[in-house]
Amino acid sequence: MKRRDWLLTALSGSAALMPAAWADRPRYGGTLRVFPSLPAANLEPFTRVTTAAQPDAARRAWRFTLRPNVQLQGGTPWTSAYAVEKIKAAFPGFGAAGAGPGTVIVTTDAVTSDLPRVLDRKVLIESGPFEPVLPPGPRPTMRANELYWNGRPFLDAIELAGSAQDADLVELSLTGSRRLRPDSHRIWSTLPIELIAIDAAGAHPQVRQALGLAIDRSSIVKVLLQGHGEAAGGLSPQWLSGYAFVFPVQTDLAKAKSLLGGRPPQMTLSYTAGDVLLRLIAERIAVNARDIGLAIQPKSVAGAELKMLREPVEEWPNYDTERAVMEERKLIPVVHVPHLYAIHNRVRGWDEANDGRSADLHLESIWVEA
Amino acid sequence: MSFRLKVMLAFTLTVAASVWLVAWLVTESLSRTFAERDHRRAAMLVQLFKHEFERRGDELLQRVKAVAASQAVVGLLAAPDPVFEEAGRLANEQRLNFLEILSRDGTIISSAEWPARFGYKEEWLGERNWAALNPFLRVEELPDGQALGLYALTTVQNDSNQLTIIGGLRLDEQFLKAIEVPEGMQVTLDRKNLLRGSIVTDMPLKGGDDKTLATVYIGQSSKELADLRDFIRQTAWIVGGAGVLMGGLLSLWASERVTRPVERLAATVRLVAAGEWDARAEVNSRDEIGQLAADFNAMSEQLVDQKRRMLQAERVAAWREIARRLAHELKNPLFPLQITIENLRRVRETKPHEFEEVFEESTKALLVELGQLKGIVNQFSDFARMPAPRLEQADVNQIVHEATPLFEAHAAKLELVLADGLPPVYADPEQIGRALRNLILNAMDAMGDGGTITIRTSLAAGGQRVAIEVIDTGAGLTKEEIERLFTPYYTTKHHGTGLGLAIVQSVIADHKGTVSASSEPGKGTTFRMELNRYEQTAAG
Repeated sequence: MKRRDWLLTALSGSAALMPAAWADRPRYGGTLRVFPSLPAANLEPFTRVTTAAQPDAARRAWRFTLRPNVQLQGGTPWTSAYAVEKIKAAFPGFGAAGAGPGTVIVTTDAVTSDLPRVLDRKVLIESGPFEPVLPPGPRPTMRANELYWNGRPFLDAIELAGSAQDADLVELSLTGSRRLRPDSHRIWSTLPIELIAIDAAGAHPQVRQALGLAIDRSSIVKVLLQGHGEAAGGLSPQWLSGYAFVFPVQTDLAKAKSLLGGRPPQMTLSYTAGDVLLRLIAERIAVNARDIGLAIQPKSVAGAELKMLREPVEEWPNYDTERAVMEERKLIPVVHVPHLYAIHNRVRGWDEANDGRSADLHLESIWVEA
Repeated sequence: MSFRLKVMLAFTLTVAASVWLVAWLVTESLSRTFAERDHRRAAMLVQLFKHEFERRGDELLQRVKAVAASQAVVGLLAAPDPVFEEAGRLANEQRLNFLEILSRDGTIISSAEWPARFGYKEEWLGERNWAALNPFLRVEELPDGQALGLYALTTVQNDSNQLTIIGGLRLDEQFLKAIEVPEGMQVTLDRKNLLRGSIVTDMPLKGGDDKTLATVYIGQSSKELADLRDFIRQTAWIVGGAGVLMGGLLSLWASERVTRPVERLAATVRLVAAGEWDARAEVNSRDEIGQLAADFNAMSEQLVDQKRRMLQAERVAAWREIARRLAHELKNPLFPLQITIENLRRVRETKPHEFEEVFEESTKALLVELGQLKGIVNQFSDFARMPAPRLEQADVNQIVHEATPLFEAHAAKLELVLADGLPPVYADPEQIGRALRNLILNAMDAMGDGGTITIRTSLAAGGQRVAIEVIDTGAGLTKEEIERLFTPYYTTKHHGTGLGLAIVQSVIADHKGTVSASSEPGKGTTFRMELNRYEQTAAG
C-alpha cells in the first residue's frame, strides 16, 4: 500500500471511532454570522463519508467502503446506490457500480493515481454538519444537523450577515485585508493552498520564459497580496513539496530581454471576469512586461494568448515530475496564495478545528460566545 | 437686337444688379457683424475657460493638500513602502481622477490611475520644479493609453521621509462640460465633435515644457448667420424675380408707348425711301415720338411738294431745251431752203432762161436739206421709241468684234484689248452694240482726226459683272461736262442732237447695268459700261 492510501485508510478509520466521543461534547451553541456568503457546510466531499479506498493493481478500478451510520439530510439513506448516482452525475465518463451493501467500485479508462482526490472535487454529499433552513427566510441560514454522523455541531446555526462589520467570519480578499477593523477581528489564513499562474500555451516558449523572468513576484506578494502568499516558481508551495525553493522566482530583466529577441511584443492576458485578484495580478504582470518591451493587454476575454488561472495546489511525487507537468502545461507560476479570513474575537475553537491545510473549513467544532 | 429687347434687358439687368448689390451689401454687413460678435464671444469663452481652469486648479490644489494632510498619508510618511489601494481610496474621497503618492526619489508608493505601477519611478518628476507651476497640464500614461490631466502637486515630509502627492483631474469632454457656454457655442477637445459649419477658434493647451498637449476647440454655430443669409438670398431671388417680371411688363408697356410708334415710324420711313411718297406716320401722342412722327409727315409732304415742283421745273427745262435744240437743228436746214426757194423765184423772174438750170441745182440742194431735216426727225423718233431689250446670253467680246469693223476706215486708230475667258452677259447684243457704236462715234468726234481709241473688256464687281471701256485720247472733259454728259439733248459738239449718250444710258439702264465716264482735260476720256453676267441675272 502506498503512503497516501495508507494515510487515507488510517484517517478514515480513526474518524470512524470519533463520532461517539464528539457526540458527548458540551453544546456551546451560538449563531455564526458569515460574510459574504454561506459556506457549503451542508456538503461533504465523497471520501469524508467513506472509510476506505482501495485501488486495483492497474489503478483503474477503485473500491470504496461507505461509512456506516451516515444519514443524509432530508432522511435519504447513504447507500451504495446513492453514491453511484452521485458519482455518475459528476463524472459521466467513469464507471460506477455497487458491490454489496456498503461498497462502491469506480472504474476509469485511464490510470488514475489519486481517484479519491479527483472525486472529492466534484462529488459532494449532503451529509454535512449543517443543513439549510427551508424555505429560506429573509436571511439565508443553516441550522445544526442533529443527525450528523459525527455528532451534532457545537453551533446552533450559521447565518448570512448583512455586512462584514456585522459578521463573525469574513472571507477576505487578499488585497483588502487592510480594511479590516483590527480591534474586533483577527486575520487568519490558510497555508498557501492555491496556485496563481499564467497558462502560456499560446505563447512562444522563449516569450513564456522571458515573461517568467520579468515578473516581479516579490512585489506582488508584498504589495498586492499584502504579504499573504509566496512567490511561486513551481506548482507546489514549499509547505507541501519541501523543495519549492529550487524553482527560481527572481526577476532577470537582462536575460528576459535577450530571450524575447525580436518576437511580437503584443499579447493579451485574460483573466476570469469578476476575479479581482487575478485582474490585479494581470495588470501588475503587464506593467512588469513593459520593462522588457513586451506589450501585454490584460483583458477579460476568451481566446487570449496568455490566461491567468488559479487552481488548488497539489502534491507531486518529486521535483522532476512537477517540472515536467509544468512544462507540459506551459505554465508560468506566479504566486501561491492562501485563503484569508477575518475572525471575530468571540469565535472560539477555530484554531483547534482548522489547521489551514485545506480550503474546507471545519465549522462543526467551533462556537460563538454570546 | 430690337429696341424693345434692349429696353427689357436694360431694365431687367438694372433691377437684378440692384437687388444683387443690396443683398450683397446686407450679407457682407451681416457677416462682418456676426464675425465681430463671434470673435467677442470666443474671446469671452477663452477668458471663461482660463478662469475655470484657474478655479479648478485652485480647487485641485486644495484637494491634493487635503490628501497630503490625511491620516493615510501621515501613516505612509512614517513607512513609505508601496501600498496597493491607498491612492485609489484617497482619490475617491477627494474626487480626483489621478492621484499618485511618490517617495522622495519619485518611486510610486501608490497610484490611483494605474495601481499596478507601484514601485516604479516617475522620471518626469525631476525635470523641473513642478510645484512652482501649480496647476499644470500633463499627459499621463495609463494602462490603456494616455490621458490629459490638470495636475497639482504638493509635498509632505517629516524628519526622515518625504512624500510627493500629485493629484489630477482628467481634462476631457466632461471637464469642459462644467464650463457654461452661451447658446449656440460648443467647447470640445475633438474637432470632429463640432457641428458642421461651425466657426472654430483654437485654444492650445500647453504643458510645463511649453509644448502644446491638446487643443480646445471653441465652435460657434453659424446657423443663425446661415439662416439670415438664406433669408436674404431667398428675398433677393423673390425681389429679383419680381423685378424681372416687372421689367418684362414695363418693357411691353414701353414698347406699346415708345417702341411701337418708333417701329411704325421706321416702317413709314422705309416706305417713303422705297418711293411710296404718300406713306404717312400715325401720330397717336403728343410726346416726343408723336412730335417726331408729325415732323416726319411734314418733312415727307415738303419733299413730295419739292419733288413735284422739281419735276415740273425739269419738264419745263427739258421742253425749253428741246425747243431750243429743235429750233437750232431745224433752223440750219430751213435757212438754205429759204435762200434756195427765194433764189429760184428771183431767177424765174429775172433770168427765166437760166431757170431750168438753176431749178435743177436748187431742187438738189432742197432735197439734201430736206434729207437732213428727215434725219433729225428720225433721231428724235428713235430716242422716243427705244424698244425694250431682248435679253439673252451674249458674249461681250463678240459684240465688240461685230461693232468695230464699221470704224476701221476712220482716221483714228482703233485698238481692242479684250480679256479672255469672260463669262457671258445677260444682254440684247443689238442694243449693246448700238450703245458701243455711239460711244465709239462720240470718241471719234472728241478726237477729230488722228488719235487712238482703245476698247477694253474685263471682269468687274468681283467677277459678277463684265465691263466694256471705250478710251479715247481726245481733249478730255471738265468736271461739269462729265456731270451733264448723259442729260438728253446735251452736247459739246457744234453738230449732233445730244441724244447719243442719252441713248447709251437708256440702253444700259434697261439692262440693269451701269455707265460712267471719267476724264481729265488733256488726257482723254474713258466711258465704262458694266453688264451683269449671265448666271447671276438668270438666277435673279
